[in-house]
Amino acid sequence: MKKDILSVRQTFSIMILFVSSELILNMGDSLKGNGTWIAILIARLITFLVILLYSYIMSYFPDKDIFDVNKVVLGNVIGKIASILFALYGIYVAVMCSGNVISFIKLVTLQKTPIIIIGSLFVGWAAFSITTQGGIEAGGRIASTTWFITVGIWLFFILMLTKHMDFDNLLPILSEPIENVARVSYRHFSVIGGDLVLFMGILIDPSNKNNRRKAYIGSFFITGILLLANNILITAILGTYVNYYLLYPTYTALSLVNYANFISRIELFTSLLLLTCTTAKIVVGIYVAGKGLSKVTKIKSHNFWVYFVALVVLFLSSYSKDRTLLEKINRELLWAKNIVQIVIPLILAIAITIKKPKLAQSELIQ
Amino acid sequence: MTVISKYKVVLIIILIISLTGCWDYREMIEYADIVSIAIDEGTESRYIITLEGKKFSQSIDIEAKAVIYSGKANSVLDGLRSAIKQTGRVLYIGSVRAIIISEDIAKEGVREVLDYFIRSNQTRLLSGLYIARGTTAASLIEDTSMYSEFAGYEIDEATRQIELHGSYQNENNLFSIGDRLLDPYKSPLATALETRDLPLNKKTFSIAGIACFNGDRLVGYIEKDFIPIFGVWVNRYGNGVLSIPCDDYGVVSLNIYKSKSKRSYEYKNNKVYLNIDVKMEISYTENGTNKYGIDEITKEEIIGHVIDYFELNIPALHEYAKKELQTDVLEIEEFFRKYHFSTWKKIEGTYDFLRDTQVEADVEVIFRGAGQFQLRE
Repeated sequence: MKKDILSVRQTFSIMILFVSSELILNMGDSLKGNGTWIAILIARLITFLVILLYSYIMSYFPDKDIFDVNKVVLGNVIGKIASILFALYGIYVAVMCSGNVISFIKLVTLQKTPIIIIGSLFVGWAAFSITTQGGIEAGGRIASTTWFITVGIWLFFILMLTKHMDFDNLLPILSEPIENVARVSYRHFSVIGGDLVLFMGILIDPSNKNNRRKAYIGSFFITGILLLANNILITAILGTYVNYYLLYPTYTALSLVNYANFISRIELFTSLLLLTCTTAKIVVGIYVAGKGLSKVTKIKSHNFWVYFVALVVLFLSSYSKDRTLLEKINRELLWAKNIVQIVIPLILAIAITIKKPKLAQSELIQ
Repeated sequence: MTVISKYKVVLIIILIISLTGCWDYREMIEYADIVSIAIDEGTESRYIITLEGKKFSQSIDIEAKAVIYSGKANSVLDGLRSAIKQTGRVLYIGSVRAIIISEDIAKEGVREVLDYFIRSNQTRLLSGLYIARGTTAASLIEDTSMYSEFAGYEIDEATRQIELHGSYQNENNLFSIGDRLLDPYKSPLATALETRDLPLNKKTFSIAGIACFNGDRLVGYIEKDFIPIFGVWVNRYGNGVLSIPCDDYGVVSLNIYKSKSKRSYEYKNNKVYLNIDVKMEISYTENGTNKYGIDEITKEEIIGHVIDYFELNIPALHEYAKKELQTDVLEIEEFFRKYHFSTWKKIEGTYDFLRDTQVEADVEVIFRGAGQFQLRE
């Protein structure tokens, strides 16, 4: 029997790895000047409000996932449309993440290895881990023992770069117009914080209706500190403009570690961090998409859909030779992401608030 | 076998295939490991690119010897490709310790040359950038190696030690120069090297100042004598040895234990005033004069010399930058922008920070001890 229910600790750990993948891949945006950390701070504040919204919705349905909630709250037809959008969103996140990690490996190391091989290593492993007997719960257990190692390695190497840090690089505190800050904040939220909506598709220990909120908020503070500290320290090391122009600034900064010619060339560790974190994100994307499709179609086998979604993800993330294509699509489709990240949850929250007395009488609410 | 287990079997097979190895696998022997790169201006082609590589012996105890490859090329990539032809091996530039660019190329602009190295996924951004002053870049890697088999290693290690000993360490790594190249408010700086003749037709290299750039073009040098002053100005003067000229009598040598400086600005009557507060902890080591015997010089005299030296030379460096370099390598505008952004916004583009700023220095010296020498009270 597959285990599909995560504990608070496991969810919290997966969330940390999920967001930490951005430390290396840097899918969020930065300002061409000083003040990116302010934009990140604003994005985190928006994220905080949004995760409260997600927690509010799910607190009424602690033993259900978003696909069940859509059906109960929005009805059969609209609920199905919303669920399909959620499933597509899961595929989108997995495609973006695997596409970026494939590009990263292709650009940095394995330039001759066919892209499909690199992709199958990530996507295949992700699909396999979901369909094993332990299910996503096994992944959760792995995440709860690896997240602090991952964060610890990042911290250890960043601290080794203190001699390169020049905090004057952070001045002036804000040199860019406020509209640019708003643009970067919006992009940061849409690419990083908003993706946490996928966790509404995962069941979390239903013994307490606040469990989901605990996981969301706990991970929010840790990932917030990580994202802010990463941006501030990397800017102090590389300077504002190098940080802006580089594709993988954290990776580049960590490659500068050279402790007495003894601890150096730690790119392997950086790649391992990336591997661990991005796999967590791909797993969540494929898992949620598979679950959604199994609930809205006649084929009820989750495992079938997981493999199907994995193949779609593998194809979409590796078919294009233009490695910047995904990045361009991501920029153009931010508004579409917001439909799933904000619009549907907002509609759900309003509907739940209005229907509260009616829902309370039904057996759906515990 | 159920449907699902078939999927798993197929997936496991795919994963096993992907684990069998990668297409990028190469043996070390297939690589030509490059230690340093010298780029000179060519006559028939744009560049003459000289590479110092490692050649491994076939014997069981692997021994690496330096080997020089040289080629004419119109771009850095062309040059590296021509070296591949010569070596018959794949070039590996991840070990490059020194990239040396000739003065002529630096005057035309280094952005194009550095672009390749900054973009390459192989280059380590810790590699040093040097400017060959008054000599060809190639001569610095062909002739100067004395203690190491490889000139690239020697240049990298020696300049680091020399700069450390001289208290000022220039950040001439590719990543810090890249930052200064990309940042419109900063001026790139690089260590300049020159060759020196030694007996028995041998050569070595020495630091020939700090190469200063406006944008990506070399505009001049901060001469060796000004390096400590510049170090103090930009607060990158640590600890080491400093020799101060004393009138016509010679020099006084000091140990600098600690040095900190702080730049503070004031904007009044449409003029920027820059005050550099310097705090220095020193001790006296020796003097090279006949006037001061070791028991002749007093603590107060040494402190007085140090204060005079910095308080006179800091404005002198400003004058030098105005006249000779005509570029704000002294970070006057950069720092004003950092700490007085709103005022800077108002006068940006209309105020000439390099020329119109009034500079003063305030030096405080703390005397920690006289080492082995007994000073007269």
